Amino acid sequence: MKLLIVLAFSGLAFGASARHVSKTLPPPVDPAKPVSFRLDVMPVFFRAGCNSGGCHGAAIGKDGFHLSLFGYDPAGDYFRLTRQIIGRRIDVAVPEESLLLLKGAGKVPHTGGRRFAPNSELYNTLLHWIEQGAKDDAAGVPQVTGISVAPDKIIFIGKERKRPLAVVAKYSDGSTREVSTLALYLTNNKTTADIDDKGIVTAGKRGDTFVFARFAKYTAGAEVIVLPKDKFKWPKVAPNNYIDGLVFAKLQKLHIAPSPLATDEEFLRRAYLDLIGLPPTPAAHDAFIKDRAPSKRAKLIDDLMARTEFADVWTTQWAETLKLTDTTGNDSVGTNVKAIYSYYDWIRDQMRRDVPLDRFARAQIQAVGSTFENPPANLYTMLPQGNYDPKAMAQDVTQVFTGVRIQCAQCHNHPFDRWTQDDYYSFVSFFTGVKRKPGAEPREVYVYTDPHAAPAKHLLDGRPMPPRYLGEQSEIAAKDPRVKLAEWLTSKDNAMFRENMANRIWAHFLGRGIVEPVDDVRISNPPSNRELIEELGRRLASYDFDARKLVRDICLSRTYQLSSMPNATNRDDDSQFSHGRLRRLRADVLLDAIDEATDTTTTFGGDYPRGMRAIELYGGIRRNGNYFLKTFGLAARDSVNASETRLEPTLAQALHLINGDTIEGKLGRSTVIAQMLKAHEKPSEIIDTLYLRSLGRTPSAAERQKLLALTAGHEADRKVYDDIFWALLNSTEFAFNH
Amino acid sequence: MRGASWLVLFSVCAFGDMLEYVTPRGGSIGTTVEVVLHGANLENPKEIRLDDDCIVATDVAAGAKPGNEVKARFRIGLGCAPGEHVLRLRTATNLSEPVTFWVSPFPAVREIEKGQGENDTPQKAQIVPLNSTVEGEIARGQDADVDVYRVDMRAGERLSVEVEGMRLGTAAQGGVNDLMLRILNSDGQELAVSKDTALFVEDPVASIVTPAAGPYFIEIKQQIFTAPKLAFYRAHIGGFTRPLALFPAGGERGTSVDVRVLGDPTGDRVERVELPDTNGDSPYFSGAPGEKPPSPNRLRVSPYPNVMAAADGTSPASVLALPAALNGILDKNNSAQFRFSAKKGQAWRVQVFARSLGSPMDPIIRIRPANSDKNILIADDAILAELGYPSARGTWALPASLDPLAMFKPPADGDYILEIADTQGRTGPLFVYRIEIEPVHETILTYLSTTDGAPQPRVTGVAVPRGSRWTIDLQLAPGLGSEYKGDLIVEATGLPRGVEMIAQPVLKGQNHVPVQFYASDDADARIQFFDLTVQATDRKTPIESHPHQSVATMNRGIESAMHVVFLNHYAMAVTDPAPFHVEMEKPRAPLVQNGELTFKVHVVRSDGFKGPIVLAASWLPPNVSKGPAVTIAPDKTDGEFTIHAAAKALPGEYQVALNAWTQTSERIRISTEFVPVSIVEPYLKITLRRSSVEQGRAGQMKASVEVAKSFSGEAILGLKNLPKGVKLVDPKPKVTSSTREVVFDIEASTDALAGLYNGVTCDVSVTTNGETQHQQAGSGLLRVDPSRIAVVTK
Repeated sequence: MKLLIVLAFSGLAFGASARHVSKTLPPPVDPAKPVSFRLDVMPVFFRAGCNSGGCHGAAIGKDGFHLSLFGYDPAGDYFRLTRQIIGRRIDVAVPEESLLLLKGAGKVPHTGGRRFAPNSELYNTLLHWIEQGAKDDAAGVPQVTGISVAPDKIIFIGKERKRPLAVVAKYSDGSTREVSTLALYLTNNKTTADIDDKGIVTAGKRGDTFVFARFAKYTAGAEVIVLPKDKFKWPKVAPNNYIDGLVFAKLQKLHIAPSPLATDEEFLRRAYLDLIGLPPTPAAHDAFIKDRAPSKRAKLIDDLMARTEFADVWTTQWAETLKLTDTTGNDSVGTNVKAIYSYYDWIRDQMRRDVPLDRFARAQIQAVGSTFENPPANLYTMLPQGNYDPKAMAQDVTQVFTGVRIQCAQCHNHPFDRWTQDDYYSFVSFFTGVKRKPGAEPREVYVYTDPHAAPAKHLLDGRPMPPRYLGEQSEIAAKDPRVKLAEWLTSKDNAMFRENMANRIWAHFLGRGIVEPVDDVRISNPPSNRELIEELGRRLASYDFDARKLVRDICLSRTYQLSSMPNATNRDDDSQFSHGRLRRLRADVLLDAIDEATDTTTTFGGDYPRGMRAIELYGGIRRNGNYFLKTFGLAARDSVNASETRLEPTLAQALHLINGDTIEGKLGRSTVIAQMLKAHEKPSEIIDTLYLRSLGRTPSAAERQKLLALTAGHEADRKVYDDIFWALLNSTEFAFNH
Repeated sequence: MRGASWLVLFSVCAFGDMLEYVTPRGGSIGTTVEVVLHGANLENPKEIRLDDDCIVATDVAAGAKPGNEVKARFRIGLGCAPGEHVLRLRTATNLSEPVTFWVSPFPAVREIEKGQGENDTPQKAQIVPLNSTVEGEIARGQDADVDVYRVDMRAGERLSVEVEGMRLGTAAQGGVNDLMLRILNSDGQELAVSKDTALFVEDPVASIVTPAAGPYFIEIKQQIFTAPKLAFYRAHIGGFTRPLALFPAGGERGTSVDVRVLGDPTGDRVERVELPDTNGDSPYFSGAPGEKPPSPNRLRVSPYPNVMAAADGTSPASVLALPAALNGILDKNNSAQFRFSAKKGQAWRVQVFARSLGSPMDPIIRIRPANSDKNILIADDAILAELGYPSARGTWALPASLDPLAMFKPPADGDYILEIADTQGRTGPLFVYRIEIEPVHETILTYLSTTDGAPQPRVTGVAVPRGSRWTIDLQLAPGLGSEYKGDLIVEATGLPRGVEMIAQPVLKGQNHVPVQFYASDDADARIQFFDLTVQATDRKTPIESHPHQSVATMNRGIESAMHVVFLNHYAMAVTDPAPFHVEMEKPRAPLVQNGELTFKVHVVRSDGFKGPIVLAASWLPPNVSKGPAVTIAPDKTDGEFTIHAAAKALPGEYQVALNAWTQTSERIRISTEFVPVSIVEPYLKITLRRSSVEQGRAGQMKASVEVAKSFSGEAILGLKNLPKGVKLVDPKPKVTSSTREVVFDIEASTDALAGLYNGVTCDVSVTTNGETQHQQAGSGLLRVDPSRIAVVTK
């Protein structure tokens, strides 16, 4: 972990101090000084963006000129610059007339426009290199072995303050060099801290974030904390458990006060929707409010976790991540509904029996056999959704079980992370031996291991890459290396797995991962509270990966139970869990909540029997075809990305709720109001019940008064109550978990 | 690996022309059942014939919905074998495709469920007597139907349930009949559950010994809800034994063998089995009388002795001599080895029988020299065509294809080790296997392609109207290892009286041949099963030949067979005379390579028949293609049908017949007589020179002519594929056998498209014996230049 190393040796720096970095090599602008192709010229292409993916770094280059992406292949780039079309790109006789300079400086038409000014440092580096004969310096040139930034932690007191960042590269010969003018910069959160192309960091709103510098194939970051100038007093809040200790410590550091505890009604609805995907019934509300026991929240959490619906919530989330769907309609690739169902049923069984997450993951990664008889073998049919490709498989498995995306390293060393092409192809080799063949009937596929399968070959030089764990050097020799991979991946010592599993659980309950998104773990996307994610991971491992125990910890924490009402200090906080987060209900939970409130069912037609809840829909096909679910952003299950489940509101959603047939149709079929009228319940009782069914609370005195005015004179008219119910189901409060 | 089976073939609907299914889906031995046949175009039903005469169909008549239903009575004889039986229907004009009817040894009980939910719980279970066959159906609708049956048992009795669901092969487009079963006690405790089985693929079986006296509940439902449609099932509920495997899985023909019966809940037992004298699969009903299962297990019968795997599993078992059948169970060790001697020059056919007999294993075999670690043969899955299912589609996946089949040709004299294992390294008490190693027999199977003819084929069925002909394209499939390469003749046995076969000889290298049947005016109007086989023309090489047809009775959307019926005969029905007759004129000119030939067809219509008639060819010589089917309009009697010979079509004499059929729903099909067609080399070779023409001007294309085959008179040359706006100026050039150079006058319009055009070609018309033949020759390049004169109009 490069970042950690950097953090370890650098001290803190407060804003507005001058840059002070030891300079062992001055920038190479002196024409007399020899210009190195690899050390000086290659960084120019990087800094000027010439070799980025959108420009000449694209796989097929751009406008007839190709540079290796981010400069991973200097030898190839040298050839293309000097030899591919001799005399065109480099003119040693009249260096200023070299097309490379004319294009780069925008003196002739260039699709990429002007990348640097004439006489700029970048320009002069190229010019002097050409003047000196445009020589390569292949052998013996020191390689960049890492970079560091200084300072690596900045605390700004007050907005708009500035502080430059210095970037120092370390070379294989032991030398260092400041490369601040050659590095690229980015920030994780512009509103807290921005960074310009000179490396100047500018403070924004209160919060903390990271800014990064990239040079060669390395990325290094600096933490930036922005605090307001006004005084801050930490309120007295008692932590419920270790989670609160870690969250509050961070909040205190950022001068953010947490919101107060949510009310019982708020907590009840939140816990129901999060834990079992359903709103509380009026009876459940009544029982909980009447309960005076101090431990009633803990009891509710345990009761809800014991229900099968708790397992259904997690089954559907895994079904989304593991792509339980049939996108091809082709039975022979093993994604028929029978395979989907057997996989779904297996996942649900694992969740119901509370099978530890490490065992759950291992069973799938190691699986062989029939996709019907041994359902976890469907990992190798559902993730590919078609022909099997070990590369795609390796990528998906890594993303699903560690949150790490290694696919960038397929073509070049990962630009924002530590993964190299060696890492990538070695990891792919865990999956090159997986083979599939038709089973005993057309919908069945057998997954088996070919112990003689060749390992993956390195993209650049074609050398075979035996299996190696991510980021490790020793080769894994085994008949089926997946068995060892699964053990390594799910071992308690593997922070990648335990922290990602913990973070996925955290994100479900808090509405945001500590690393967000949960499946984009990389150096340049650090956790918002490192101590917290590390502790949650450790706890999960210490619970032998019993997810329910961690869920219990999270739900019991004061952090989870905080009100969503913000205060002056935490209004802007989006990442430190200082207040309850407003979350629109997932599409399936929303539909089930409407059904529960109106006491109706939804028929999904075709291959789903009547009476199924939306969250139980095991396959992808009909599910994807349901207009409501589609409109409200239910994951299509065609990628492992967590962002597949969309929660952002759209106009179509609002229009559907108001004008569509879902709420209107269900109100028509619902007998909830009719039964109350039949029982001669009073208008105020009916209104209370409708509030409880939809919002999980009783109306405020003002609300009740207003609504009673509407019913006056129409006490037995169902239409009036239908209108009230309609309005409640269309309210933002109903559609959100708060 | 069966690479081909991963291909997706999008194909036509699985329903044939006529018959879809029969209800009830079966009957009991010794009873007479009133049945209804369902389908389309079932008017004028005449006869129903089952493949086994133990079931006799009587009282065949139109049903309640004439045209869509036929009713009949099936008398099921006492000697009838339980299990699948195949039947066909003959109407006045047609023969149906095969559908199945299932025979049970137990009395039938109909499921009673008038309203959905009636028998969905143990409390509402339908009480059935032990040893009965429930004829049930998963009720249609969006509610997941559950059917529960109750039997009352004493303690310690065997309770077995075997469900026929998918096997029934009831056509159900869009839905599958994939059922599961559970046996529950009176407390609702699950005593057995079965979904898919190695023995019956999707169909469940379960067998328990009752722990206590009392009611037991059998629950049958879909594994996964799919909107049910014709989801019939037959559940045999009784005290019968339901063996899951037999070991050894076969023996030498005509001998008796002690077989261990595996998988019964009362424990394994040994039974002495007398094997028949015929090689191949033999059904075996295990158990004492009164305890026999409703469907058999299968044993292999071979003309050579059994060799058993070594008991300890560590050292190889010795095979004294080949051929031999190697038998074992992978119950403890995850592989077994056999040692045998073989000589260079031999060719052994090595076939494993495991999954195909219901064993749960997925076998793989490896052969290596005894003194080496290096495998020289590894075989995993087999190709269905090589297994003897030549008409199976590439998309089919059947248990049999998991069993390896390979040719072993020893590279040197010596000892070899054969190893067998499960591909996933599994073991189990039912992992029975049998490996038959035998010399290659020259084998050629015959079958009908399911894409034969333009309309849906009446699979394996041939209907010939009295006084007419019908022509099929008979497919030939050499067995694995067969090496016979000579000419073949087709032979027919069992044709109805009054029907004759006219078959063309099969030339070397051909894998299909036209076969025509002619039914005389007084031919027997009945369904008859017959065989088509082939023999070496010189009769010197013995060839084993028989029909083998695979019929998918239940296809899914992409032609994945969920149940396949295998037939080893064809069926023919002689039907009422056709209302029309077709005659094809004998072509007076040959078919020239790279040329085309047009057949003239004349239709003689009977009084009153005015419908359109479609003409098509089912067989044509190799490298000869046909145009689309031609329809002769209702008021017309003449039609033309053109065929094209590719340049590589082999010169020679061939016989070609055209098929013709009505477009009425009943589709009456007849053929023309065979007419001789000669394929000859072209008359002329023409080389077109590069030429150019300017927009709005005249020009010339020149060509050199070489006479490949002399002809009398003159040939007329035209140009084809000229660019837009360029035309050939009449008169077209004429050439004789002595012409060497020819000039085409062409003209380009002012708006002719300028550019370079490849592929301009010559059309040669040669008239011999009053008939004109067309040949294409040469290929040239023409450049159209822009006009050099600007025309200014404003």
